[in-house]
Amino acid sequence: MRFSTLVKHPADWMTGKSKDNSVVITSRIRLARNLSGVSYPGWAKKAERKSISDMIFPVVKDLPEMVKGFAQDLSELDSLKKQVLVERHLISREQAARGEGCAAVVNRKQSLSLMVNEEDHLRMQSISAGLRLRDAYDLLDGVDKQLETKLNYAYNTKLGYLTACPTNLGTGMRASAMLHLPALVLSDQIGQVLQAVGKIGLAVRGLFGEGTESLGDLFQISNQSTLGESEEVIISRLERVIQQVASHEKNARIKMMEEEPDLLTDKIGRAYGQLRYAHMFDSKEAFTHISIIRLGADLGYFPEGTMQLCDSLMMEIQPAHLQLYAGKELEPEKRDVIRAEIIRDRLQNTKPPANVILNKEVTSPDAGDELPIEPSTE
Amino acid sequence: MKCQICEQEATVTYTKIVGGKSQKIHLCGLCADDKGVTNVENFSIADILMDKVKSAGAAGAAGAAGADEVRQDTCSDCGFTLDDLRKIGRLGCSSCYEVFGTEVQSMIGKMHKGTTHKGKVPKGMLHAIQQKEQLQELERDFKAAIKDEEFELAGELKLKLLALKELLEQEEV
Repeated sequence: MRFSTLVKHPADWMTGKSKDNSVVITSRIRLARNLSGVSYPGWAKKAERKSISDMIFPVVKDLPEMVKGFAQDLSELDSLKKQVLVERHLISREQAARGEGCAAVVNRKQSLSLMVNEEDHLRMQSISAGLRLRDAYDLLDGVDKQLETKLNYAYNTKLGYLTACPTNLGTGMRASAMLHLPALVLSDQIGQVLQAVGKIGLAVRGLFGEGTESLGDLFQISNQSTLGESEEVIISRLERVIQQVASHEKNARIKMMEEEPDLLTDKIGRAYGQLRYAHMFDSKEAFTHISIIRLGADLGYFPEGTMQLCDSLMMEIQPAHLQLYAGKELEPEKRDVIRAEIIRDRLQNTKPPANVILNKEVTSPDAGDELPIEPSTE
Repeated sequence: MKCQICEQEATVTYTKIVGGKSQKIHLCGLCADDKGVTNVENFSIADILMDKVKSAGAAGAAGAAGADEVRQDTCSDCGFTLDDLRKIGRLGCSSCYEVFGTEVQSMIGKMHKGTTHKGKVPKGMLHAIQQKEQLQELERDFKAAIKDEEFELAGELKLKLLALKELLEQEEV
């Protein structure tokens, strides 16, 4: 599969209409693996790094899961194209900054991506729609089990899989979910919820993980500890916590519809109006409005399919994607114009929000209230 | 002259004058480029490297003298040093985990829920790994016994060691 083909098609998780991904958009599992007896990519010299890639890349490329996938030496991609892969969550920002001796392999559905010579010799990731960490893990575990017979993994009974950074020792696994939490943000409960999540030793981050800010009410929750617990224990805890956060969000959405229907309808209408008619948007503002439309789509203000439209839009309006769309590099101000143009184009067939409050019966789901959320002290 | 990092033919000699005495390091073109020595503006990098090569030599000498108690601060497989670890918080290769075991242990406590792996084991590796670790343990005990002049115990351990090695060789065939 060529780069152009990869970019033309949305990832599987973006089109998964049957899965409930109104709050938990995606689940991801990442495994870090290294070869025994050679330097880690960050310490290896160029020649050694290349020879390591020559050992791993062909094996990974030939996996049955990767048939007709995208397999690319990253030194052959320009920085814009690499950035597009970052925006699609197919490679990491760290990987994009590296050059010779680094490679990426992505399957056709874009549900599996394997990076050669990132921080570790091999970083593999699987991504699926909704809260399905176990499915994502099983898929990746299958790949890992094939690779462990072909590659000489660095492993030790006490420390587990040996990794370049001790923060990934043991399972080498980072499990995470991307959550859309607009109602918790609007009702000012987000701080308490995230604080509670942090207290159980889980990490909360922005759209692109470590060190990135939250855009469009999107938050990533992941495990921090990788050593001392099995994959199963880590995934179970994470799943339980994410379920609770998701149910808080769902309750907050219903509460808004019940208690402040006019305010909610007004917000959704304003967001729609601006997105349909504005001429310039920076990323942050665009994300803010699209987030509200996505919330409205879940609550019945827009026809089916609008949520998927929002998800692809959030990808298309990011800097590298829109420069690829424009076919050239653009100054930030020029990007803002193109961004608004893309948004107007994608929303042209979406009718104004229906006032659903008048004719919709609202019922609360069962709340699982185990998260130790304390009242705000601010 | 061989490169002091990778043992290829050295083509670059870096000389530094310290207190009237000159110190030299010999590098091949590749290592020199990689460590930035050939860039004249990069004196600090050369300084770091000078220290690294020196400490590698010191550790090697200590090892050769059989003084295992001397704290090893350079990984003989990849040249990574304890200073590097403290500076960047990552390791150079998988062997570094043995070389800098104590340092790593003190880091792990704060990072993770436990200190021992409880997850997945690569297929077919468990048995081999246990045997390898058993072998290392026997070798350690054997050296300790010799040092403590417990020759009877050392003899027993030596027999066990030989038996295990033979077993491993047979399995490999």
